[in-house]
Amino acid sequence: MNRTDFLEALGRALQGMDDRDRQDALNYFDELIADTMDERGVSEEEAVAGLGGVEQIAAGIRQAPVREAESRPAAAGQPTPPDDSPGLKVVTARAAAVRSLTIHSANTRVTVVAGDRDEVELSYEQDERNIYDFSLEGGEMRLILRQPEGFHIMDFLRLNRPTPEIRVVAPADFAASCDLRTSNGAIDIDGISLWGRLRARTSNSGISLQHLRCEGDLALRTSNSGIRLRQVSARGEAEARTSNSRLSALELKARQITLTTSNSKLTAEDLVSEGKIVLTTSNGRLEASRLQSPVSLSLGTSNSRLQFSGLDAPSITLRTSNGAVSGSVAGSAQDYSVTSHTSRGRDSLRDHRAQGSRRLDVQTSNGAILVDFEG
Amino acid sequence: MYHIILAKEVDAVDAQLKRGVIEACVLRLLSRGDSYGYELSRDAAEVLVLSESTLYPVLRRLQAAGQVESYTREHGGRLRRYYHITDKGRLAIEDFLLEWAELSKVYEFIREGIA
Repeated sequence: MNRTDFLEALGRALQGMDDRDRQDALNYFDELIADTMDERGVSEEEAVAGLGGVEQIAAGIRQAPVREAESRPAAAGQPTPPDDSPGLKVVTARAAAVRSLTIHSANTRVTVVAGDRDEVELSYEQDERNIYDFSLEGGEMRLILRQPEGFHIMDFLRLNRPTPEIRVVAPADFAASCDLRTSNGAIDIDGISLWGRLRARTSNSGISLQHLRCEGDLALRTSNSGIRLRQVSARGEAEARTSNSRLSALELKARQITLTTSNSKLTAEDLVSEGKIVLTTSNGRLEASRLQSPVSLSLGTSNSRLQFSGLDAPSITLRTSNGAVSGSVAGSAQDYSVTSHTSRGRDSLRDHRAQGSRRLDVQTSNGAILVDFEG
Repeated sequence: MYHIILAKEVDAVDAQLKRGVIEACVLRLLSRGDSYGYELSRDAAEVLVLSESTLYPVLRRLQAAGQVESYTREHGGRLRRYYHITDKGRLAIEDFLLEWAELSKVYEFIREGIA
């Protein structure tokens, strides 16, 4: 097969792909053949033979992420947007054509799970009052709940009905960012590796992420309901905020970690950050084990106890009120300079005299301070 | 049922590891200086079993992640695309090394069991 035959065959194998992406790939292989001939002194046919099978190459190219949204014209083979009729709607697009996924809804759950096909599939239910607009343009897949006209008593009578769900099935390795917004319904994501950021926002319902990896920032926000993170890692900063409900994070890794709730318990285990870790709640217990930061750890609650072990950072701040602060930190007593204060109760740090380079600052009221050094 | 789920997870981890290794090697090659497709394939082949066509999706991914940029220059009467590592790409190498430092602890643990 000579160079022209090869490029034609590859072009055919890439049919249906965005023209620019296809051209980019063809240019790359054209150049590769020319360079192989020049630098190895081989014939066209030999250079082409060294590349491998056209189908295999095409499969590899189809897995590559697509061009930046702004320079990308509408892709060929667009999925047809579902109509406005009531009922269950399912829409599917090639995963390579999706660089970002945006869902704006209300009063629904949003669930994202991994599928085994190289496709993104959205399924959702609509009725006369809740109609969605679907679009896929320039790599941006959007599903937006149309604002209902006027106000309807049915909008307030949803309580008796099960919460509807928007379900997303994406490849486990999903080359996109996600922006998910809903209300009064949970957001669950399981087993997905995102190549962009993740924003998830709801209210009065929980957010649960499991086995999730994202290359960008992770921003989670809800209210009056829990946030649960299990084996989550982000290349960017991770921030999770809720209120009046539990927040727990097990095995979380990110450039910086900020977890905030109120009036409830906060649990953190095995957190690794390249920057600060800040954990805040109020009126609830704060339990933390094995937290690592090269910058600082800051743990705060109120009217409850603060319990910890394996805290490892050059600067550790522990704050509560009306409760004990107890646990252990990495390193030996000599490594630390200490500031501690409680209004009433035993303070194991009171006689600490060492002036080490690590800083430990502990304050509470009406509770003991009992800190051990692990080193 | 369970073993199927587990196998899938292992596959995903495996694919991720491979992807990470190839990407980090390419970034490492580019950290010496800008390069082009053929040269990168050739240099990468010295450390990895990598077909020439595998590199293209890797480069696209690195570009999409902002870790690599590309530009076109004339060379010998035709156009050649060069790739350049960004600061983000250099950070990604450091990330990779940190992750693998952790993995090497696991490696040691396994190896001690054999000895």
